[in-house]
Amino acid sequence: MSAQTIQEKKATKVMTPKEAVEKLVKDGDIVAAGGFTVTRKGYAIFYEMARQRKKDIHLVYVTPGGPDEILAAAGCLSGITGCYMGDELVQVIHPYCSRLVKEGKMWHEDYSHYSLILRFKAAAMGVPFLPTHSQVGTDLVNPDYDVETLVGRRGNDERYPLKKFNIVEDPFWPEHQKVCLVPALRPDVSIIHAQMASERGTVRILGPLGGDIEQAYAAKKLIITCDELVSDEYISQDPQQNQIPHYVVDAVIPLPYAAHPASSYMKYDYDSTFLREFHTSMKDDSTREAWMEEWVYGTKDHQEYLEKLGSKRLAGLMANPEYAYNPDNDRSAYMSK
Amino acid sequence: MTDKHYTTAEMVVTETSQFIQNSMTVFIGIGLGLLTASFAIKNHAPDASIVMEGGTVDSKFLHFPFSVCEPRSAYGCSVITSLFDILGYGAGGNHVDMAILGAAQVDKYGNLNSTMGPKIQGETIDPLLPGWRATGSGGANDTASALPFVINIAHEPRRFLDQVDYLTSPGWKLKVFDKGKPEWVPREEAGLIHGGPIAIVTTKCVMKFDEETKEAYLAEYFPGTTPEEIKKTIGWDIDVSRAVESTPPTREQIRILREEVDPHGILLGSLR
Repeated sequence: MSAQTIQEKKATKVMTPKEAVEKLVKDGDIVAAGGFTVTRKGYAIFYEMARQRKKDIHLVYVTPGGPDEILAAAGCLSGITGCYMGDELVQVIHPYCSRLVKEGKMWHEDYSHYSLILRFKAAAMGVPFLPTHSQVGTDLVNPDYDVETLVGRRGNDERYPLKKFNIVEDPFWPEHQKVCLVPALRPDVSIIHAQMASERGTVRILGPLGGDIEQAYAAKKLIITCDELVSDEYISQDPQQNQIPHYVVDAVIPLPYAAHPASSYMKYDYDSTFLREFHTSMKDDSTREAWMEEWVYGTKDHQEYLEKLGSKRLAGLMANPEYAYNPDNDRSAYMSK
Repeated sequence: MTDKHYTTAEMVVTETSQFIQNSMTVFIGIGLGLLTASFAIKNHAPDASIVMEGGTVDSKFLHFPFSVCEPRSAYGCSVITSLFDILGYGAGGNHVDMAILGAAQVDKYGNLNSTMGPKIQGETIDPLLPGWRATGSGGANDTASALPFVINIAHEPRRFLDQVDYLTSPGWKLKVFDKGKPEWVPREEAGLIHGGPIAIVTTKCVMKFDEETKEAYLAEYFPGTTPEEIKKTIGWDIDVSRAVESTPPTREQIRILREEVDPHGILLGSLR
């Protein structure tokens, strides 16, 4: 994807979250967040973006999860293009992001879930758009609700398409059915958590993939956090298990519990108690600021964050391979009995 | 007031589950639909398959999932794949039989709003200053555009409108914008030849769609209410002449729900 010189390709991709965010995430970037709510969300990178006070970020995602709230709380976000502003049963709708949108302090462009994946897929394929039946006949293709036009992103910035969508008649088949074309979406950087990566950048994801492969190929730069860093020889022993080839990857960050409080299938479960406290804190200004002070700004890096969580808590999240999660995980924060 | 052996949420689940026939493939989002599909499989449709948009086929969860994509949703699957495969091939390619969807608002044509609304009902929406925000489409628009679907919604009057404030997921009459001002046209004319809403199951009743007019009419009312009471809560002139009383769930069905499907009351405990 990126026009690397031979020298750049040979340079190591292995780095820390701080280095990756300093080098690869710029103010004003379009950032894609891989994973799916409580599954493989690269929280460690988003905490670091908040610590480094990145500005004017346009977050695009398949499904969000807590990182949206953290970046918004740190004042990083100008806008979001997405399809689901929540964390599923863990937090049905994001309290802070939805409030900012209602108050006009942050904008939210809506697409359907599949249309967004198609946008990433088009960019990944190097084509300008892809067709779908989704969105046809609805307010998702209402010109009055083209938010990226309303906020002036189109026509001024070559990264943005001139239109949100286009409805056309199929030229090939006798029914000439109307279909919706969605334009390619090429993030400046995608952030994806995988269970394993090699030094050269081959990536292995375990469990459901969500929209990560599309977001990996679509991005100009790709940051991978991983539970395990291995040699290229080792990861190539089972090539059927690997999804993202090394030539798409720009940074490899081996980091225990990089996705915490989200889960990493087969490695660790999500932290329900932490998620409940975090999402609840986002509802009021004082509790939100206190939470950010304690967990984001108050820990200088991921290592300090893990030390603060403590070994007992982290050990309690370790997955059992028979389940790929911890069947004894304490999820009482969300249970009624 | 009789002491019922079931809650309203449990009634909604068992009523909705009747639309799942054995061997059906059903698209499910997180929440009530997952309870419904799991219950249907244990109760009467053992060969039905659940597909969820994170990339899971035939989830046979042992512990109730908080997400369609978390490890508990992947347990027991026959295939683990990607969002594109489920929504693009599965729904878009019409390989899945039906979807169960929730929403904030529904109108007489089964259009759903799960996105946003104006500050005052009836006003136009300023998308940069919406009166309220819900989550957004998620995969609802995608499945509603391609598949037959059943709608679940809480029975509160403000949710049943003659026209939804924002049309997120397509029912039987849709909006086209070719001529500047939005026009309402039949679903097929807008471009959708497959799928469409088949029923609305609320916390008080079941509505179905008239073959001719494509408008929702009252098909069933739950014990404890009447067609006339329901009519007062609906924002269109709903036909209640065909309504019959629903049969409540059996004690065995409630046992299955409370002991097998959601023993920790993750959902059933918070909904009454």
